[in-house]
Amino acid sequence: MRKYIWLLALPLLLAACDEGDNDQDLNAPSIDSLAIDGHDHDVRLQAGTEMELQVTAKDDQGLQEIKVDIHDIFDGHDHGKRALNKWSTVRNIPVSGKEANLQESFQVPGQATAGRYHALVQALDEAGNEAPFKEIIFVVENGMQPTFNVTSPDFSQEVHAPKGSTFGMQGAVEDQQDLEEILITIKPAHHEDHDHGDDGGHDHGDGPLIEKDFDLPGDSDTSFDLSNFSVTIPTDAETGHYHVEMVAKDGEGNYGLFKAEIHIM
Amino acid sequence: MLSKELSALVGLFMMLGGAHLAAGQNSAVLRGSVRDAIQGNPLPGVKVTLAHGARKAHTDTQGRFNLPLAAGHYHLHLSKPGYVATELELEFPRDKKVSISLRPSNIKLEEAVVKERWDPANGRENTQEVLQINLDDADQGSATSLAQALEKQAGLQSLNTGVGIAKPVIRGLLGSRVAVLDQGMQQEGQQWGQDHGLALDPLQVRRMQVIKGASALQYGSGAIGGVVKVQPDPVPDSGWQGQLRTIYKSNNQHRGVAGRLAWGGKRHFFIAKLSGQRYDDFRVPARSFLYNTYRLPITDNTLKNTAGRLGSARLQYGYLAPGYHARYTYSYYGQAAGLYPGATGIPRAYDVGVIGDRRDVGLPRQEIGHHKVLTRQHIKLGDHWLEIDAGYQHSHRQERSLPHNHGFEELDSSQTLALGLRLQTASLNARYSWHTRGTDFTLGGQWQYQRNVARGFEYLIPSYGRSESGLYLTSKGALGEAWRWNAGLRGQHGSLASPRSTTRWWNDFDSLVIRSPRLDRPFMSYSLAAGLSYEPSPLWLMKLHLARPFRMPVTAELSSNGVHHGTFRHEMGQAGLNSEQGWQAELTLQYLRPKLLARLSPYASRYENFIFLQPSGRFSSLPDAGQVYEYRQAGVTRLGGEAFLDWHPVEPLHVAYSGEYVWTRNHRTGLGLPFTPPFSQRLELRWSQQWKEHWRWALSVAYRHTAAQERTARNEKSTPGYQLLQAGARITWQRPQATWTLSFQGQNLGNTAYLKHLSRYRILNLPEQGRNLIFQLSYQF
Repeated sequence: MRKYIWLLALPLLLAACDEGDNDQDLNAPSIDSLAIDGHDHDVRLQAGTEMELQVTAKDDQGLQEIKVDIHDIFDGHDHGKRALNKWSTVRNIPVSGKEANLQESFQVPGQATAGRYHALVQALDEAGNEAPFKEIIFVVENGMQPTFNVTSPDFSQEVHAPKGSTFGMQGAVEDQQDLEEILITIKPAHHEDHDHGDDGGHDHGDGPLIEKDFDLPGDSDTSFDLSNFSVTIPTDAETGHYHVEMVAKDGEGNYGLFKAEIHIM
Repeated sequence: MLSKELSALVGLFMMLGGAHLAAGQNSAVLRGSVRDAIQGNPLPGVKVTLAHGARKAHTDTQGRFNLPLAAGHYHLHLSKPGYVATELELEFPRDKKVSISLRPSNIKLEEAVVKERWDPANGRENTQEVLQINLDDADQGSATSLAQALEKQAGLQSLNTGVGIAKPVIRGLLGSRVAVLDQGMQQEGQQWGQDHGLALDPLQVRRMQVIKGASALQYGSGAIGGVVKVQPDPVPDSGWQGQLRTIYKSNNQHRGVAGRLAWGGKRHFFIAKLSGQRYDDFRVPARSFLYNTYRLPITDNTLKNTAGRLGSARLQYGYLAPGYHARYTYSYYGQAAGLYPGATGIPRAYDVGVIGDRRDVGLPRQEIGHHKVLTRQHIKLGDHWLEIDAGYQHSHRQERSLPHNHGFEELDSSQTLALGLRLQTASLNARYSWHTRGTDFTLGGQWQYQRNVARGFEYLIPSYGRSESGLYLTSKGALGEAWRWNAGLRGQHGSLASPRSTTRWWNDFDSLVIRSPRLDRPFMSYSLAAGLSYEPSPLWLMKLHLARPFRMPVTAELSSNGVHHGTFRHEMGQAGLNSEQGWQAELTLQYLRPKLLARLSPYASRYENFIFLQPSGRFSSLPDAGQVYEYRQAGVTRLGGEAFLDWHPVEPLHVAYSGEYVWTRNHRTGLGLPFTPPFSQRLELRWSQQWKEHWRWALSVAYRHTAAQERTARNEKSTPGYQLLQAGARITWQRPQATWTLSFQGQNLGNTAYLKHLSRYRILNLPEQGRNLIFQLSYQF
């Protein structure tokens, strides 16, 4: 039997006529910075104005193209009704060289629905390697969106909320037409939709600490009394800084956003 | 006469059904006796089956059997637990009486465990490596998809999306390169798509054969990488038989129930099988995952919206007479499977962090409905056999998601049909076999016609019509005692036509853009194969197989133009692609001793024009899309092999080892092919024993080691290695009237968080299912 062992090498003959590996560019490019009008977070834009998106991208061999994809991220609280003037635009920009510094101007449409948007930026190198995408979140206001008038607590000071205590607010959410829905959440301050992981990501566990949703079924709810919101801070909550976020939606699909910080102790 | 009435009832196949009037005459009886080759005593309970159709008999207490046969050339197959299965060729009525000796095997080797087979699986006649897989209850119930049930075999993998959606991968090839045949008819259901699973319920499948290499010669275009053949159920014994069983899986609260009812008469039989399963969102051993440098939560270790429902039915009627056998089958497979939201768009903490109802199958999800009607006919014409498989399938696939998640603002949120694909397939296969001057010949024809209609607010592929027809001739024979040979050739003609497809440009209702140009192309191909086997002694078997297979491109490769959400790729077909062709060499070296089976199966293949998706270096102009990937052709080399060892040191103990590796190279890019399985090996220990008169129990433990996969295609992530532990226990209580079986299986016992290279959720860095304890109870009468 042993004399036939050489047959095992037969299949390898097919491979023998294969050419050698050529030098491969397998390194993906990177998007190193992303900003709107010089800011990389908490950006608010007014409908009808111009904004400048600043992108820095790098590649070890040569960049090829950068894509900017702007659209809304009005999360899942839509209930089937839609705002029809959501701003969305796509731009593909050819680039070259090992580093690109882009300044792209975009006009925010005058009629743009108010709410949270993002600019998603992707980059490619000449070999087709893809950079991990980067995004920047911004808020568009058009003057028609719901507004927040919080009289208490005074968020300009540090607000303390002991565990087990009741936390509430005074004031009102107002809209010129009709308020439809208000969502109030309290979540850890580092807990964003997409948190940047400088060391490859942080772990920050589960969803928000508190979430309350108020539906306003009437046709002309122009005001919502914030004293309706009153919660007990769980005794097992982790000590630390939290964000109080309010998202209010009106009948036109405009979103108003409010964000403040409290310290749970 | 009842047969006549029944076949008339089946109407649809009346023409075929009537054929048994002509056949089935002049039958006589083959008489045989079977003895133990060592002791010489008669052997009762030996199962005797015929290679053609489904005739079978058992030896009586005197070791004797009778089989009514028409004149002709037959392959007889004999098997009994504890004995090495044996084949016999005979010319009837020249050989009216046969006497056979069975060699006891102290071991229950993989081959000998086989309860019943039609074809000699890994015998010396077949020069490719063929696995005969018999799924027992525990195997069937522990897999949620058929592809998953194949995974423990060397060289076989599955590409899965969560737990309910999976397709088989043979030696690194998958999709439209692997043919799945259900009783001879190719299963058709959009197999080109990465996350398109196989619409076959493992609870409905008992026996399979897997050919681990290029098999386009006999099975056509789709079999360039291999074939999974779902074989007909065994013909029921006389009278009524049935089974009822329940399944529970702890990881995702999976509940399943399956029933089988069968009746066997002298000439007629029927089998009915029904099953229903549902499962909740599955759990993973991780509380967060890293997506595109962002850390996202996995609330309560549960992957949102990965629940599913699954139902299937199979009804079969069969008729057996000397010289004529027929089976008529209807089967249905229905599935609704939820997809993790990050699999069809960017995962967001506010979305994936709130898991909601763990039981419901929300959006996004897939809904599959697959109906199949088919018949198998074996007709004896004079000395020769004509076999016909004919059938019709209707596969309806619906991918549902919220239109607003993909920017379709103008649509109402109730319009969730993103992609609806309705595929109808008619197929007809015929084989005519004869034996002359020591050589077996088979002349076969295959014909298939498909119509696919695409709907939905997304666009990926156009509606199309596709036809394929092939004609082949195979032959096999012997050269002296030790050598066997086979050879064959095939000619094939195919055509693919799709109209010019236009859609509106994204949200712009007034626009119209061409997404795919009109296409009308013929494809001509041929295939060759030849093999040799050499069995110098009962210990050694060596086989060499050479093939030139082909594959006709599918519509997605020629005409697709749309975004694959999740990968964000904009995939673009190229209308000018040609059929793939290549050369493949396979070698099998087998060593068999009473307590040891060892097998080594290296292979190599080289394709001139393998079709693959190549990054174009430019972005799509569609929103929500990344780079454009174009289907291109390039030379590809694949090298690999499997090792298998089954050792049986003492009667109750089994030690099985298998290892597999495949290396691929795309000659244009110099890189590997995507979804190439990493090196993997598996060790299993099994102890099985009789206890008292009516009890039998078994314990098993299996360890799998999978190495890292560093050799990837461009923009495909490399995947770290992992180790998994599995254990099982089973106890059977056997009474003359009924059998009860309780089985337990623990999968991923270490609750290891691992990434699977061949998983659709790999790109999201989502780990696979965590620890899963599976309990099954079965009652059989």
